[in-house]
Amino acid sequence: MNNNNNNNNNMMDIEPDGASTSVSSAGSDESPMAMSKAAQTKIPDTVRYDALNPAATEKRYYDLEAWLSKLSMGTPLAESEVKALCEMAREVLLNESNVQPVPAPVTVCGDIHGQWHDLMEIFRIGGSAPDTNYLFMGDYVDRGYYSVETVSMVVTLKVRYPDRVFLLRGNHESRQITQVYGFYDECVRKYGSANVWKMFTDLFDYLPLTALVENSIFCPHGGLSPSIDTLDHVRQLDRVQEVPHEGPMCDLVWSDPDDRSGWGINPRGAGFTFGKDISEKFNERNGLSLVSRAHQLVMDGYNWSHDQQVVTIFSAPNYCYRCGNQAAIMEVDESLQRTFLQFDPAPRRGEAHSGKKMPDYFL
Amino acid sequence: MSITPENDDSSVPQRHIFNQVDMDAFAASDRRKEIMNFVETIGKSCAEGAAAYDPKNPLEGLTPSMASLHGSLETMIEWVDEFPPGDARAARFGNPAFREWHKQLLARSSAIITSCLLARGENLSLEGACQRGKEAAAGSFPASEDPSIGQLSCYLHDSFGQPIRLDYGTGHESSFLVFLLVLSKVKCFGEPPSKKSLAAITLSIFHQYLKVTRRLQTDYRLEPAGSHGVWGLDDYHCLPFYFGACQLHASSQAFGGELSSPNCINFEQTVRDHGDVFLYLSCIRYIRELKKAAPFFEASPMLYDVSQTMPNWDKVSRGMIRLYQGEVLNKLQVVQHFVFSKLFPATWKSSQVQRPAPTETFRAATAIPASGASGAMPPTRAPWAT
Repeated sequence: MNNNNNNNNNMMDIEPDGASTSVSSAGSDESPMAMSKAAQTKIPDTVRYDALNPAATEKRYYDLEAWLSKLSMGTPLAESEVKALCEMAREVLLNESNVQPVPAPVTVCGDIHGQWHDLMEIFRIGGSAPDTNYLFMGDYVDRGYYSVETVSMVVTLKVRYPDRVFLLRGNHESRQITQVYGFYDECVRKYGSANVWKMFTDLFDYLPLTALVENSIFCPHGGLSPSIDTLDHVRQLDRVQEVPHEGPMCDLVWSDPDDRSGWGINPRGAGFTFGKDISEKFNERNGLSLVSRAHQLVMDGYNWSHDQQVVTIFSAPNYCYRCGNQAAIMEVDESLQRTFLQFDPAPRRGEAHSGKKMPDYFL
Repeated sequence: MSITPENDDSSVPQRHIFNQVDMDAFAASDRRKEIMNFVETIGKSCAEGAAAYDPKNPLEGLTPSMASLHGSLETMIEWVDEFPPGDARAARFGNPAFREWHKQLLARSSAIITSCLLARGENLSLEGACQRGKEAAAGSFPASEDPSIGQLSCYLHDSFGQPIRLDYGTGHESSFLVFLLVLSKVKCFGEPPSKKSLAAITLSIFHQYLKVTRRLQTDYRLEPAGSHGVWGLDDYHCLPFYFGACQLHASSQAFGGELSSPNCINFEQTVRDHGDVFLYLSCIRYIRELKKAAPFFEASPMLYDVSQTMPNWDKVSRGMIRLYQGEVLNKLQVVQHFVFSKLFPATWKSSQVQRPAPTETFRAATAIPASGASGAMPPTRAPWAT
């Protein structure tokens, strides 16, 4: 691999514009220069201020800035940092609703699946957080090579800018699914144990199930449920648990829209399929203009269905390095006008890899 | 008189694995053992030096029945030209024209199987059998009316992808394996099958099968079903890596040379030059062609690690067979789609039928307590969750 030359330059190239402004002072989290420069900055109110413990608030700010700096270079956090991050994130997420209100303008993103380079591309195209507000609709992990970096990045952004970045739970934010589809293996490979996997999957239990943009756009990861006909029914769910095999919480993260009307068996084996009649009725009853969801690969990155009652957004371009699909994000402005930004895979150069390990079946 | 006298029943093949209880029954069943025995038997035939696959003469060593199947598989590729992928913009991802292709499979499968079965008792040359297999797939050879053909065709129908979901995965590959298994049960591999013909069938039929499935995967953009992404062995396949490792083991035992080390997959020229003959290298070549956008270690870390840590192909093949058990046969998500028939009968009573979709909308169908949180759902959180 031609990975030995210009590594630093490569890394700078893939930094998001805005993020590099806010974090470039800290080349690494141990740089004393970085600390002194950051110390002159007023701590922005986007980090939640603890009046009883201003020192803790200050440390939190420095930690988060240092982690963002690391992550925007593609460096995974240390295990102890993940532990601290997940504790902070739990506090923040615990206070959010099952139907988390999200103000416009906001940029809505679908599945990312560990494609960290493409997450960076989103910030280049859509603007960096917090200059742009983001709603991520789940499926940060599994399948891609960089799930750890990806989920660490979005969770750090959430804690750093809790009122400007919103995260939902996808069907892959689950203990069971991540043991099958890669995140577990990746954590063991990158950290030498399953501790980081456990920290993140325990955190996933706290992620909100859905978001509601300006009382008008309903955003679940998967879709609707026959057990849910009003948003209040979602609000009543006890979400802090592993995603169940069936029931309303399962349906919200697993269901898919379909051409056939009514409810149908979902060939995935979880959730249901729902037809145009179901979407229309749900939107009408709840005064909604749109259901915005992710969960399915779409060739153009976004795909309208049910006479524009439902839109699917998928934000992992050239999924699994082979699907050749475009990715998209949806910008929603103050007047709820929607613009789709499509993008292709971020250009790549030679990179170093993280060692080799004998796969379990071959031991 | 039934064309398959072993099986006079026309009962409908169906699923018998719906949940973990059924899964446990399957895991302990003779059917699972039967699959493993079959896979290992044909794998070993490739590993024991019997295998000299010549891509210029793919019928060599086959039985007439298998030559017929080879011909049918060749013609299936031509179906893709009959049903070209339509306007891609109309599709979410997978191309709906695959449904037309699949309908053709349903329509022609009886003729394809009839030709295989008839070839058992005739004195057809391999070329003649192959030609008739082509005709059967092209619709110019009549199918037997015998309803018991349904006990075989169900496996062929599931071998090329799911027409509703427009996806393909190791479950479909396994269905093709079970199709071969039931064909061997009705003596299409010869009676008794020789090691040489087993190896020829395995290598030649799988090379040809992969030509069909790759064409379907790319032309119709079939989604990788249940893919583990980079953390799996491959997006679509598993068995060709096992058979291919066995084949390379035999080759390195006999000839030594550059292919003896599993590390040879990292040399592009080697993979290019030998991909037509060696199943494993064919799979690697296909991945390298498709996944140009990322380095190989990143797009396929497991295959890369195997190449870096395994001293020889024997060890690779042993790992691959364990991987097939662990990632395919032990995964409910995959085997829940298996169907069981008279020729491949379930030995347990499945614990439930498929859960029906609600006919009424919303909460009339499945009410949850209006009072909210407590007791609304069965607790499923992990015991260690805080």
